[in-house]
Amino acid sequence: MTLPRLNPADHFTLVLDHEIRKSGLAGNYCALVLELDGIPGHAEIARRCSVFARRFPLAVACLSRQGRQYAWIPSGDDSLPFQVSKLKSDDAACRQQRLLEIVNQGAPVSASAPFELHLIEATDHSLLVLRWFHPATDAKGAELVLHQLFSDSQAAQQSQPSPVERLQQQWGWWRKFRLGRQAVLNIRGLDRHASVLPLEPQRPADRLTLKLVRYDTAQTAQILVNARNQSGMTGTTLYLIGCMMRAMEATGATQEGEAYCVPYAANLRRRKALSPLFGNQFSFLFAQAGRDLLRSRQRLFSHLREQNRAAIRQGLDYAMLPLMQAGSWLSLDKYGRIVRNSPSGRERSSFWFSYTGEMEPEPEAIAGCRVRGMYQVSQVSSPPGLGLLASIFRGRLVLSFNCINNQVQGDWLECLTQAMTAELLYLSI
Amino acid sequence: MRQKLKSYIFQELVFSGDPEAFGEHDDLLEAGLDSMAIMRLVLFIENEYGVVLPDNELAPENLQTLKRLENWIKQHQ
Repeated sequence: MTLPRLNPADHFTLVLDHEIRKSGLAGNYCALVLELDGIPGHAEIARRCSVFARRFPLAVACLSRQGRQYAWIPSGDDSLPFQVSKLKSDDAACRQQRLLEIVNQGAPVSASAPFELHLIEATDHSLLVLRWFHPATDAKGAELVLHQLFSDSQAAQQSQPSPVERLQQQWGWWRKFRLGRQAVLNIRGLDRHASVLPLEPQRPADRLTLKLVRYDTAQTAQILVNARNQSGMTGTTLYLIGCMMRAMEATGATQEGEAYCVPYAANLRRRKALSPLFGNQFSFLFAQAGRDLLRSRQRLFSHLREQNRAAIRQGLDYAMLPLMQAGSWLSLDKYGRIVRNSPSGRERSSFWFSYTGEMEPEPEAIAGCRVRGMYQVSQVSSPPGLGLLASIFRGRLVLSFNCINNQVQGDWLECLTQAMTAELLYLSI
Repeated sequence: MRQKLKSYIFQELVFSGDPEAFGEHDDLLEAGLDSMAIMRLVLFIENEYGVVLPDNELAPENLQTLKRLENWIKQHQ
């Protein structure tokens, strides 16, 4: 059986896994969490896990080191791991605690299942958790995996080639060299300013924790209108990043650092395509803004928009791919240092960020239970020790603030989320 | 021009089971054209047709359909 090798973006997430583990955390595990009205039948979920594993052997493969690189090999499993947790209390804190236990449960790389399904049951509702190991896919891929797991549609979906693989095959070595050089120059430019960091960890990270902020449909609509007004039609991602920068600045993230620097993914999948399910199909860009720009919303968003436009004009949205390809020949340690740190040794990312927009396809029900909501969780290295994951489900925006429990002050996180809401809705604080 | 735009959109940016069925007045934003895709489309147009499309005109009035997109490009040629 032949399984795909890790593509450069997969390998990049494996490096982040290494860095997260070095921080003292479980590894690069993420979760897509569906909030269900009711409790689905266990047998039906288990059946679907088996069917899915038979259709897609990669879903139950495991990672194996082969020389300097890594590859998927068959694990011998014939079904996705599926576990049920029954809670004694209906308390939301109890549900979240169990969810975090799942996300914080580590295993060696070679024993990490690409996908696991967990059902957290309360009295009359439940959480269905798709936990995935990041080298297997990205957040959009996880949405597609979930769709394929539970879709009753028998319509054959035309398999799409991996966009990352396709681009790599299209480019000759000279084009790769030029793009890679552009990426290096871009990063060198970013490194002229020391990044603002939310945490200065004095001790090893303990475990990931989570705070959710939900907006109703009217608030979400207002936020999207604000995003369009401030950042134009191309700017929901930039709007969220800019608001977060201002919220962090308003709550005194740290006194050190000259600029906020935020990596964000450029997903290369075609929108509405139901495949490829597997493989990380992204390159990434940076949004950077000096602290002096943060005083004016208008100046900030105008700067971020111009920076984004210039980056895409220069092809920087693709330029990280050749660099990631070259990096995959380095040791995980060395690659990790280069990815995260400026030459001065300081962390480059002020926070991790992901915006997946509306879930596609959006499930109405899973195994007979109506889906009420959805959000995401992701481990994050420390520093920066803070990740913001944004997504929209049924017209409602959810912000998932992921951070390290023994390094972040609860009061500060509370202030940060309030400041973020004020920025998003453009209210005076 | 319309056919070229359509080919680029459905080969590179958005998936459609039947791109041929997509008409000049069908909604591109509904079809899945998101923010990053719009940026890539604008740059494709600028390179392909030698026009400059101003940021402040990036609006649904100009991007919502193939017809509107074509008219917008022609205004700047």
